[in-house]
Amino acid sequence: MKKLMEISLGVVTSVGGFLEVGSMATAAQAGAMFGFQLIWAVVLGTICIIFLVEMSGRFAAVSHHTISDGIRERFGFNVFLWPLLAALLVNFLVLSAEIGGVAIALEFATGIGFQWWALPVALLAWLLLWKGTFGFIEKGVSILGLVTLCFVVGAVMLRPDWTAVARSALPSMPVHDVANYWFMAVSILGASISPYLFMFYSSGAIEDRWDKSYLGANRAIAGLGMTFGGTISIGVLIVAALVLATHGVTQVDDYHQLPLMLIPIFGFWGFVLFVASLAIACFGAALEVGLQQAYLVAQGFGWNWGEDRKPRDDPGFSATYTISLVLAAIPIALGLDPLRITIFSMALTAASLPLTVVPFLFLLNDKRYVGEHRNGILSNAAVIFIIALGFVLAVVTIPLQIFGGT
Amino acid sequence: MAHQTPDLIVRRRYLRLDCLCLLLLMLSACSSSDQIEQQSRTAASASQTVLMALDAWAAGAAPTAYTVDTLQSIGKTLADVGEQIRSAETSAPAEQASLTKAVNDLSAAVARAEAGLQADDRPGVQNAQQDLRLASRSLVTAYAKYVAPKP
Amino acid sequence: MKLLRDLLDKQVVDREQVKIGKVDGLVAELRSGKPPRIIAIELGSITLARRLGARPGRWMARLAVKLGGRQHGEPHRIAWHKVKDIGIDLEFDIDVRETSIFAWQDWLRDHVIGRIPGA
Repeated sequence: MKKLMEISLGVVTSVGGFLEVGSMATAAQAGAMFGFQLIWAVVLGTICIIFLVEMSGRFAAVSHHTISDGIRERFGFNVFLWPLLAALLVNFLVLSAEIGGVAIALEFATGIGFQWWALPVALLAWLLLWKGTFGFIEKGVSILGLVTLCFVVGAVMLRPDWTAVARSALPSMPVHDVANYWFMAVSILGASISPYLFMFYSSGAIEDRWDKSYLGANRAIAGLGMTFGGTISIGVLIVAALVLATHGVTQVDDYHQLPLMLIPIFGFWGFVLFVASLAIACFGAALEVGLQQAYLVAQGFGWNWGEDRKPRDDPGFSATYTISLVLAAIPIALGLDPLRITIFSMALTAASLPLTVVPFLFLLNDKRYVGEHRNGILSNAAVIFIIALGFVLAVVTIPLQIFGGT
Repeated sequence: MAHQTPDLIVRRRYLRLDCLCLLLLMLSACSSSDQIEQQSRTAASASQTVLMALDAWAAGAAPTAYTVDTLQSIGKTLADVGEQIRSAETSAPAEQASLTKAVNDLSAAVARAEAGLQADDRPGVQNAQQDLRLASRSLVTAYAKYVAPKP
Repeated sequence: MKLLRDLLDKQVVDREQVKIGKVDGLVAELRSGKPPRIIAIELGSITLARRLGARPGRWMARLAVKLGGRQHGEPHRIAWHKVKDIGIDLEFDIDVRETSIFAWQDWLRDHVIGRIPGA
């Protein structure tokens, strides 16, 4: 019974981590411009992240190491430096985008420009990390995050052609805007396969004191939670396709367009639901990414870390998330368009994947860490596929950014 | 042996640059190269956004502050698009002119709607919405003429 | 035991299980006719910078002296005979509070973190 509770909580938590400004914005853009056609990218991204999350949870439960610990110990400092720097940079951009997402939601709600909200949002996030415990943050984010289910409800209420939806789960070639199509596919994959998500998950497993008895729960949480998250992303995409595209709004390059998705379905409540979903999903993600920055640095250099401990006990750890939040708030406070930061950071995430995913191939096959719980053929095939995908994405992202980007 | 290494590195870098250039070329060829066409579609999408936002506002489903902000932001986009279409080089100047006019009409209608919103002048907003519909229809017509195969 | 694979970059904890850092470097003694012997491990940014190259190492040492004074110009060393347990983590029979390894964290606590309410 306790395990069942734990699993359902874990599932809900992973939804909080999965759905953030990146997946919402990319799904909305894709739905508006290409209808259901890019659903396959969400499906593919979700399958990839299921494998990676399952592996990082298994790694943590069996070896009592986080993924960042593992990379540093197994490959040495000189190799670790590259994923470290890449992840810090990508996380910085993603954190900025999430703070921007909350700030936009607050602008919608109050009419006060988003740049004025950047620092208050960062301060509130910092306060929660400063005073809160891991469990409090995890549970709070997840329960409030359920509001994002309104996209799924909306999608169902619109009665989409389900056979067309199912057909779009397989990739097809675009008939127009080829460069844009691939750029969006890359952004969706970047939004779904976020390194912060699987790295955070392994730290969370250590914070929650997982051991081998959690392997089953881990598998269930990874599979169900990420599927749940992916379903909401598909919900956003369907709503965008059926509301925005049918109204002739095919290009979503202004964040003001986003609330219009839910208004035709729910009226004024649609506006409220959208603002609440955006604010909560992004705020939850901001907490997780801010914490992940501190985990990454503390684990990489071997300092004490733990969200449940008092800040004065881990000065290095708490200083890192403090600085991360302040730095990430700056671009938003300066008035840089949050939607652009989001799209840019999603593409960069995709490009950085090889650096963070290649270590999985070694760590999850190393008997000294995972013993008999090594990767099977399927998991290894998945990792190799993700690495190959990552390389392709890395090579195509930069030119697409120039020609396909908005 | 030692003096060969930098040379090799340089050569490899050139090769990589070549590949990148080729890729860039291919992609630029794929992506729709016509400025006017792309900008017109942006304008169409922007005008529909404004209509959606105004409908939502009229139905009481969107707060005034949000609607005003949206119109302001989209208005900027439309002004920018109008300028890009006007200054683009093309072999169809007549179609270009009618596209420019349609986009300028859209901009003007958005500005009027925004003024109406701020003054809480519902009939004024409705008039502006009407103009917006007309202008977006003439945009569609002009666009169809522009992309139609020339005789 | 393969030194580089099994020791370098491992987590180091003190006798209170406080995480001190990672094994950033190893100090070995060369003995004529016999295999070299580990005499200490090194921790800290100077050692890490040295692993990237001689020049970053010198820069980091200079920076450390500038920030922390002359006593921080050399990396921290823990004698190998203090090692208590080699498992997933390396446990040393020391108390980190009696070393200067956490000097910067202490500084951070006393001057910044500790002054913020709720810490």
